[in-house]
Amino acid sequence: MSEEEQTGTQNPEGSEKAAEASASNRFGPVRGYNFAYLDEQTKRMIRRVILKAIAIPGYQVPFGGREMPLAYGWGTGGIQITASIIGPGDVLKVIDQGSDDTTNAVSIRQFFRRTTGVKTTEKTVEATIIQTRHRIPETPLSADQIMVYQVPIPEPLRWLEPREVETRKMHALEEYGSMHVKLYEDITRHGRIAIGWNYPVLVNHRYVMSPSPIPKFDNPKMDRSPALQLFGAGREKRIYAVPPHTTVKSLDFEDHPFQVERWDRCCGLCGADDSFLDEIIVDDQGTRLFVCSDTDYCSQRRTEQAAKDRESPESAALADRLQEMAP
Amino acid sequence: MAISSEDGLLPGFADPVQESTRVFRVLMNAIAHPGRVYELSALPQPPAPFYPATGAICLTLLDLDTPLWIDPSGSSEAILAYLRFHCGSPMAADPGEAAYAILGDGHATPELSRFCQGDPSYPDQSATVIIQVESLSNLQGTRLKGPGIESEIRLHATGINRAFWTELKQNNEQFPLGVDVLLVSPAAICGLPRTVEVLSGAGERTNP
Amino acid sequence: MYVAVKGGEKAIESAHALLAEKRRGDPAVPDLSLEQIQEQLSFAVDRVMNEGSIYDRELAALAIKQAQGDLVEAAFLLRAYRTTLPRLATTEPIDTSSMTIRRRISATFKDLPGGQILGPTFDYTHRLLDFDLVNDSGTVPVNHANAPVESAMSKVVELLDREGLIEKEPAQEDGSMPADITRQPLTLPGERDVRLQCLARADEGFLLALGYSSQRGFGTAHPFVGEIRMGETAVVITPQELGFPIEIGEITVTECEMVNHFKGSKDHPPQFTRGYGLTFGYCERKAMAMAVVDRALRCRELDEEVKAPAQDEEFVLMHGDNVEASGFLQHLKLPHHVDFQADLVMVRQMRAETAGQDVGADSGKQKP
Repeated sequence: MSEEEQTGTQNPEGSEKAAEASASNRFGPVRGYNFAYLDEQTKRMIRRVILKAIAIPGYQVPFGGREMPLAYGWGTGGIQITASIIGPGDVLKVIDQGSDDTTNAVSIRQFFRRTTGVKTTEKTVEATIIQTRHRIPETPLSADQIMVYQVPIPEPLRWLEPREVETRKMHALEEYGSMHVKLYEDITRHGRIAIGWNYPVLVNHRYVMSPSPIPKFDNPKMDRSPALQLFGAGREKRIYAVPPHTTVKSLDFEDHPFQVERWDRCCGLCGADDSFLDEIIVDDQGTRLFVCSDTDYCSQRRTEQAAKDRESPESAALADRLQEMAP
Repeated sequence: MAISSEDGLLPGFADPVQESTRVFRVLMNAIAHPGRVYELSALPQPPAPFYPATGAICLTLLDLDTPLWIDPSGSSEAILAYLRFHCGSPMAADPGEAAYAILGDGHATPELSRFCQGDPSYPDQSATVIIQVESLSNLQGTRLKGPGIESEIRLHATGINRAFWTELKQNNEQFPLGVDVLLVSPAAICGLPRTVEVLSGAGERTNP
Repeated sequence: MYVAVKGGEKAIESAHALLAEKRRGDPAVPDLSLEQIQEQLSFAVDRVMNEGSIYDRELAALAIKQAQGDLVEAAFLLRAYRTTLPRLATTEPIDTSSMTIRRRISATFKDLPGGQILGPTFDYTHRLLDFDLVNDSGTVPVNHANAPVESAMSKVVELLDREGLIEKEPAQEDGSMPADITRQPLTLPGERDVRLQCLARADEGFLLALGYSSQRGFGTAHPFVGEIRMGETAVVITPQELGFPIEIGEITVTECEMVNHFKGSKDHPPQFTRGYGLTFGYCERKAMAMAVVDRALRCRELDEEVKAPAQDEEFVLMHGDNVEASGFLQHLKLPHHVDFQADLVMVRQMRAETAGQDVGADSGKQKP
């Protein structure tokens, strides 16, 4: 192993792309640790839990979670799941707030590079495992992909009932009345269900589940997805799952059906009108720019547009302007 | 292939870390896509009467924390020695105490109700039952649907007791309680978690 | 024109470099050695061993050095390291009655067999800053006694037990192994083995506050220190190959047994009740707080009404682990702009709808 690999340092001159291209060489498994950091007994325990979780869609399985080198609350549940399923042939994508480049996504991706040497990518279509915090990619997922969600509070009923002893009983008895009451109270107070993220869902017509703090905009993507969805809460020590092609229904009422967010503008970089937008304040006067939260989706669209525009001389000028805006 | 127990202890995975990961991914797919037959090859040979896939499942999932029960048709001195060495799982005295159960011959009545069915607050604590059958195919057979299955899938298992599908249906009616089943043939596995809905008539005869 | 920010990886590298620079501090100042930390900051080392759940003074010292004195961060380092260690054996229960005693006191009796041994304690110091310590004060002359303290000192609670005055320690009848919270998820309600394990690794400050609240009326009546003892005990394992026990080393522990309010009923004459605390090293405040909170949490088995936070099992056990607490609190610093955006969109929409209704109702009025 080279000195660089031993110390885990990076060539400060190299670009991110160059680093990724040679990732499996420079970030081979860290000496002294098992592949993917966890010992085999822990992996076995988590693997057994994952199988039971998939067999009971939406039900939170308790597991003997371990302390990880990243802090509780910073993705240890997702990391433990990914560490237990990942193999050398996988391609890993890690996003946070929809972007590959947010600091914690970078940190987690580096952790896996160091402990597995597995190939990583920013392109959703190339990934076999996607670990995410707070978003589902805009690009539709396929049957050979696995989504791993980082979950802070796995219990959807926690804000109604702080006690685990009670909420576990409520799930056992399918007693979700207090949730429906809370939603209806929202309607009487605000004229709508006023939950913007972590919007509770009913899975396989049985368990009410927290989809993790994704915006409700993303909820429909979970319904009958062809991909396997795994959820990890490290601090709370719970794992749950939604198998592919499983109904995931956002809770609502017949006269107040579930609705997603809409913006009255498109992405300022790629023009998308169908993606979740980040709001960026660009000057002290409060001027705002809205851009796709999903950085891969946005950059793919811009690449495609640039290719199209190159073919048509009339829009060459517009293409030039768009290219100026691209980083 | 009959292996006598006088032979030395048979090896487990050549590369336990990588091979258990490979086998686990197949198991995870099998439970996530119920009824779909997954081939599993390039596995170490365990002692008789275990199939390679059965041995691989044990090497991948079992350890000190998983009480195991094997029915007489699946057990042998050589198997017990093999599992003691490679897995260290305690042997359950009673089927009801087992986290994992192995039925060596699918012809026997599975009696799924004798295994731990889970608890309403902890349905995950139910057993996983592994049944060795003669062959598995998706070209024909019992129709299944449910989570993990896009519309419907057909599963034909030979060397399985005719009461199996009735028992599975009864087991799955208890959802979220109930056991989860893995069918294992000499070269393949198939997952039948408790979410599976058996569409064909219960006890439908399938031609061996 | 706005350009999307990239380069998170570079930013993280720079942050790590700045942190390393800060850790070292002024290069003209000598680097802190692990021996200095172990010898001269021993209470910090002991605390980190407890909350990090590993008995290893050198590792704890390294963690403190790396964490630049942040003891919660140091405990986290130890816990994460602990995850990677294989479990080789389980020891026999340690026998504190055969401890090599360095400190042993009791508040329940003026004097007792073996005597009140103060040992090294802050208890009777006057809290006046000692400016002699600014420079190396050299070695302190101590008149060591001619003979060591007695080795087998009976325990106060055993003395009370002989008269039947104190409840028997509820033993596990079936001889089953205690639970292991580091391998199994916490399920509530928890039995005493689970509760004590949670308390053993809980944040000292959290337990201190809970114990204090219990003394001030948010809990049961006045506890008495039956005994505090600190010293070395043997660590013993019985390897399968040998079939007999062997001593593999010794550890320093602090044990506190609290004697609490007596319980009795028509059928059972009154007896004092117990609270138990045990810590690695010399961690007395924590051992005492642990014993007070242990007793408070026994309300269920002693038929006491749960009235106070210190008696609330779920509240105490779920929030005592400072590695979990710190992680979750500090995770608020992570980007949350997507969820915030979802709320912004909703709030703006709701406000626009309300405004629309106002305008419709009274279009002549100016919006505030």
